[in-house]
Amino acid sequence: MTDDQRLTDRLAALVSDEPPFETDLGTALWAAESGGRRRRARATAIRTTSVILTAAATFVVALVIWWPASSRALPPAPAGTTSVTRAVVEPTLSPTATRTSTSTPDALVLRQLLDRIVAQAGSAVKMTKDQYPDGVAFTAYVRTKAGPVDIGVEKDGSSGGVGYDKHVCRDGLHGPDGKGCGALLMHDTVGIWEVTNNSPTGRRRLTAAADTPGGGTLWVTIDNYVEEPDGNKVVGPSWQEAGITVTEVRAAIADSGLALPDR
Amino acid sequence: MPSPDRREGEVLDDTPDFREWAVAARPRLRRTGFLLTGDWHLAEDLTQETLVRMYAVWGRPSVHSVDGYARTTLVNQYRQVLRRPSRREHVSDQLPEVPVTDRHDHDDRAVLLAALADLGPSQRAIVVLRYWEDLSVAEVAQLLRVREGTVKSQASRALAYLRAKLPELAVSREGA
Repeated sequence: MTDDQRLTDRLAALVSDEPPFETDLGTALWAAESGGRRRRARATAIRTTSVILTAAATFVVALVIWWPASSRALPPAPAGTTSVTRAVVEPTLSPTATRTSTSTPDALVLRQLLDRIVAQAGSAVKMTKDQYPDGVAFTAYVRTKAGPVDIGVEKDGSSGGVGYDKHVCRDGLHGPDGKGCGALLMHDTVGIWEVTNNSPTGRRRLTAAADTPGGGTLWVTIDNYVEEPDGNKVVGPSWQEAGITVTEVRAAIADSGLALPDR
Repeated sequence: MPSPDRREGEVLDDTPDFREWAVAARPRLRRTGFLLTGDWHLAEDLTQETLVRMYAVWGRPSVHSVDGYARTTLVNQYRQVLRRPSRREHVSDQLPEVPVTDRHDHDDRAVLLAALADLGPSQRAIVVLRYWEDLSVAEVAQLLRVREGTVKSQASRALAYLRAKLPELAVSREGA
């Protein structure tokens, strides 16, 4: 006999005088079956939940990938922006979409106007919405092939916006600091101007203003003095280099329906 | 036992099969549980929990060997119990209670139980699976998820310790 066999025998001897079960067989089987059913149900529930969560996560990931990059991020406030309320802008908007309490029909159309102008230049990687008591503004940090530009649209309650810029730019004045203004379009209810600034060199901003039916002003600006996400200010491409045209800006304003008919 | 020709996803009433298996397996599982724990009460708890878990997976095509699955479940339960601080084994000078039938026999069993209790959980599981359940080294390694070399070395150390405690185990080597 080997010591292995001896050990087996000794182990058998250990259990040879086993005591009776504390629980009778019927009760033990009933408990095993009921407990097993509960475990099955729990496992099924966990599997179902897992499938639902996986599906939901997949849907969210797909949605994020599908959304244009322009609508994803929360940008820092552009330098000089005076916002009363700042909110993340939902990536996709439609006139029939359900909006937050600060949203108005004008905001929806304004956002569509911005999207149309942004599409000429590139894609927005950050966007902010500024809600004023009497107006709303969207600003997009746009990445173009030539570099970054800020594109903003705003509708405020102040009247005379068009006239003010007309006055400032009436003679294409250039100040000693290099600031200058040149009119690109001057109509009664809409005007488009380019403002230049040599501090730093190369700054150019396209400003379009249009009177709105309610007595306010609709503004569109394309500014190449841009605050990068890391906070640095850089001079990007001019609005022309970014691919934006006066004709398209004018058409976009007219098509938005926010401004008075172009006269 | 589950029918060998059962198709995946097929819903059957497994209760008769399960009961037939459980009636036969219950005493066997409890004995193994006792050799692992040295405690009949705890062994019965482990057996009952194993039956619950077996019913939960009964009929699954992935469970190829019902007895093997039950054995693995029992050993896993044993390991879980050891991980619980309140149930962790402590070395004690007091020998466990063993029903007295014969004084010499009682002493032998008490010594063996004490020697088993001295072994670490893995060594003890290896001894029980290898020499009580009569599993091969490969089967023990698979069940405990360790390498075969580990099973061999652990079994060798455990046997050496048991031989030291129980000299009659060692004497037979020369006469084997």
